[in-house]
Amino acid sequence: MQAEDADLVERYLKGEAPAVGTVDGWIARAAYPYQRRLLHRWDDVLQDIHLEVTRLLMQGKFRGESSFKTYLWRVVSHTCLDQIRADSRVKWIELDPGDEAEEPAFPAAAEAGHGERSEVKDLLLRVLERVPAECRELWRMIHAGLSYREMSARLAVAEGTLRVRVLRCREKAVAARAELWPQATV
Amino acid sequence: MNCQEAIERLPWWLNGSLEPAERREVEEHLGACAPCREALGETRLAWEIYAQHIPSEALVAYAFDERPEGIDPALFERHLAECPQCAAELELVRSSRLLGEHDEVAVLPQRRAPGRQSRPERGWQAATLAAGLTGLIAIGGWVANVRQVRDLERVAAAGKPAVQAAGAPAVSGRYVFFEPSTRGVSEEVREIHKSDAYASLTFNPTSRDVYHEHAFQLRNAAGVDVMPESRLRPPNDGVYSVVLLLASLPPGDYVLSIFGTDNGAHVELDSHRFRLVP
Repeated sequence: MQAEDADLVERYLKGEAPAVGTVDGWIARAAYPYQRRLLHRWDDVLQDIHLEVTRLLMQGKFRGESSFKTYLWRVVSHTCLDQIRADSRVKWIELDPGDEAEEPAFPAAAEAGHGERSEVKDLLLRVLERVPAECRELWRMIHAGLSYREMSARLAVAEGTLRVRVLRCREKAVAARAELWPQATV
Repeated sequence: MNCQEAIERLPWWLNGSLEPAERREVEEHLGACAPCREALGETRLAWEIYAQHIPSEALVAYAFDERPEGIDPALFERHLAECPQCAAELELVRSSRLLGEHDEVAVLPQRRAPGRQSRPERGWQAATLAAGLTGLIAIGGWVANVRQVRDLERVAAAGKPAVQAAGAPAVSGRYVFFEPSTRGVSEEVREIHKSDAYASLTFNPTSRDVYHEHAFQLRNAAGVDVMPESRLRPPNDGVYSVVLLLASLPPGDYVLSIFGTDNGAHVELDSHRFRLVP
C-alpha cells in the first residue's frame, strides 16, 4: 500500500476533517452517475455508502492492490448497483407471513462463502442461459410488475395463451436447474 | 377457480398485479390445495432463476478492466449481450470510472423538486432508459472538454458526430454543435430534436476574450434557470465544451450562455438560443 493512501485511510478513520473531506468528495463524485436512479432516497444511499466504506476500511479490506481512490470508486459502484437492484426488485406477495416457512430458493447460495457464491452464481447464470430468450423476456416483464393484461396488450397475445406460455417457461427453468444442479433441493 | 386457472396466475399473484377479486380467488384456492401450494414453490423458484444477473462486484471488476472472479468470461459476455439491465448497469459503472479518471470534468448538482417522491423505476424499464449513451450522462447535463466528449463516445461505441462547419446549425443524429458566434450573443433560434442525444457548445476563450474564469448557465424562455450558473473548469486543451443531455429537458425554448467572471465580473460572452422539439 502506498504510504500516502495508508495515511489518508488512517486520518479518515480518525475523523480528521481534511481527510474526511477528500473521501467525501470522492464518494460524491463516484456516486454521481447513479444519482438519477436513486434520487428519491439519495441521502440514505450516501449514508449507506459511507457506512460501507468505513466498515471495509476498519476491517482492513483495503490492502493496497490498487490506489485507495480506485478502491473507493469500486466500493461506491457496487454499493450503488446493489441499491438500484434492491429498489427495482418487486417483492413478491407472501401467502401468509406467519404460516408457510419461506426458504430461500437457493439456500446453497445464501450459506456459501464468497468463492462458493461465485460458483453458484455462475451455475445459475448457466441455468438462465438454458431457457429460451422469449421466456427471459416474459419474466422480465413479470419482474417489472406488469399484469398479464398489460403483457397481453403489449405482446398482442391472448391472455390465456400468454399465461400458458409463462407456465411453460416456469417449467423450463425448473427443468434446466434440475439438469445442471441435480443435487439442489427445491 | 380450478387448479389450472390458479397455477397460471401464480406469477402475477407473486408480483402483486392481480385484480383484488382475482387475487382473493387465488389465495382461497391456495389455502385449500396442497398441490397448488407446491406449484407456488416452483413458481418462486422460477422467479429467482429468471431474476439472475451478473453480480455487481463482477460488473464493477469488468468495468475496471479486470477479469471477474468465479464467472466464466464467455458466460459473462453472453449474458451481458442479451441482458439490458446488466448492460445499462455496466455503463453506469463506466461513467463513474470516467469521473474518477478525469478530474477536469465538472458535475452539475441534481435538481430535486421539494417534497417530490419519485416511484422507484422498475428494472427493465430503467434499463432501457439507461442503456447506451444515456447511461453515460444519466443526469441533467455536465461539462467536459471536447476530448472527453469524444472519449465518452468511444466508450459507448457511439457513432462519430458529423464534422461541423463553423457557424452552421448542426443536426448530426448524436450531437448538435453550437459553434461560437462571431457576434457573441446570438439571437438566432436553432431547432433541435430530442432524438439527438446531446447538444454541445464548444467555446475557445483564448481566441475571443480576456477572461480566464468562466461560468455556464441554461435558462428557459421565461428566463428561469434550468441549470443554475455553474463554474466552468479550465480544460486541458483550451477548448470548453458544454454537453447537455437533451432527453432530460422538456420541449421548449432555451438559452445557453457563457459568462466571463474574472474579479467578480459577470459578462455574457456567448449565448445560443435553441428550440427543443419532440
